[in-house]
Amino acid sequence: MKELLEITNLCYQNLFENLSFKVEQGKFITISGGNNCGKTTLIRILGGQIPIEKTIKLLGMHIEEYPQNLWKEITGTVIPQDSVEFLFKTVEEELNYAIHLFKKTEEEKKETYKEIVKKYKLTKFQKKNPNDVSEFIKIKLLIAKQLLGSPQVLFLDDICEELEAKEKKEMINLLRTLQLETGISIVMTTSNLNIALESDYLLIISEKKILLEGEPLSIIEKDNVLNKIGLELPFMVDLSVKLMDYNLVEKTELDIDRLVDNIWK
Amino acid sequence: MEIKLENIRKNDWEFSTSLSSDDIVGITGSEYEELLEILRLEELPEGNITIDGILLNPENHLEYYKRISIIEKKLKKINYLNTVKEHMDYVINYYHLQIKNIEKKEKDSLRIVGLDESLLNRNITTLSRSERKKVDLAIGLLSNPDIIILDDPFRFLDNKSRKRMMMILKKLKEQFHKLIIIATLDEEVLYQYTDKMLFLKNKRIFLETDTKEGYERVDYLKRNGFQVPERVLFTYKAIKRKKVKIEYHKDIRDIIKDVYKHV
Repeated sequence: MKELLEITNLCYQNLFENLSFKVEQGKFITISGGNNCGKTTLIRILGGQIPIEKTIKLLGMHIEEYPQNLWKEITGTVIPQDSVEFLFKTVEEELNYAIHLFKKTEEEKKETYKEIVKKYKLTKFQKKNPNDVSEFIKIKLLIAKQLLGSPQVLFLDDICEELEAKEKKEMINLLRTLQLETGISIVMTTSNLNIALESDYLLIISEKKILLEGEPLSIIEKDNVLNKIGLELPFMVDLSVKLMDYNLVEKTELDIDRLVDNIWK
Repeated sequence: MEIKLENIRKNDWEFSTSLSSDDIVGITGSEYEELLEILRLEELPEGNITIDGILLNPENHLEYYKRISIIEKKLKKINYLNTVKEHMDYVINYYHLQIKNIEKKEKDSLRIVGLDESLLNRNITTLSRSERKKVDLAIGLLSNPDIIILDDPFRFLDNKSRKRMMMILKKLKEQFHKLIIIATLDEEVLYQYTDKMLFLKNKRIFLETDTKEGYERVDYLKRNGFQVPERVLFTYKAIKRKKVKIEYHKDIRDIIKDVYKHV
């Protein structure tokens, strides 16, 4: 496996002090931590909005060494709270404008548009004003636009937090599909450990550093540490971990029926 | 603090209910934002509204309108304003609030929600989402409202901040008899933090109930499109499928104790 990111001793304001980590390419990576631990700032740094030198290597090269246009080609960043109003009056125009910047022929443009509408389930929203649609649709639009240049990595800042439960599931499925199709790496912050459970690798930030990292479930089972930094365990993990303390079950079970079966055989 | 709403009709909605500061009230259902618009009382709907025994009419309406504060889902930054202080000053002017020491009041309200007073001079756009959520509440408290309606108050807050926010709301209810209303689609929040629930469906109050009793009606809620908290579902399945005699609990530690007794 090739390395996607390598951060060495990142220091920034009062937020990070010698924060370091490495992650592999092609994975779905989540980064979590309590309120104000620097999740959004980290994505701004990774996305290049906050320039930091000699600290962050993306695909083997320091990010400041990438020429501007190449950087834009290989990375996409979505930070909902930084996003400005959409320029066009309809979702259709908004998408088509973005498409025309990347695709040459009319045929390609049409094809791309159709594909996006289908994949992101935007059929019903094509004629709607992109500034009036739900947060879910807005975020899907932002992602679709970022992916037009076929980047190799997508940096996402807590895009699930504004979504309702059903939408969250759909969003995770969408990200997984995109990843399967294109092999893109995803680095996403989340304040919700339920979301982190769906990823391949989880990093927890606390006290300006990486406190824990590894396979998500094994990290999330550390209930004492996570509670201390203000994170809530997904209910099923919390219940399993506590039942394990009383020797009532042997391992974490995320499915309610199976957990009930494991307790009352 | 008590508000009675009798035969209210507006925008196809029809309902009657009575809410008091004895309970933290939860509101859920896909159309809840429409109901909040009515409860905002910017204009009087058809029907009778009584607040602490006083019937609202066009003459006294404005005075009572000021006593209701809706803490929005997302604070709208006012275009030409930048800092937290400017937003607070704006609200104080807008409501013509009589406050002797404005800066002290502003700092106090930040402190109540657990924020440092230095935030007063920060630009709203530089706040994190959780800070912004808390600033929203601080601003909402400036007018010293009697009815505080919170639209999705826990989003963006981690567990620590949620607990703190809940402590503040409980204090407002118990010591100052404020009516606290939490509207959200998050059933886990509603189950854990509210005492009474209004489930909305088809522009009506579909079910008005004690929170715990209401959520125990698992089949009924599911059939009508409402989500049930996982901790309720777990107990429900244990009772239904394994015939164990455990009870429903809000606190996970109580669930564990009960399971331990019944294996």
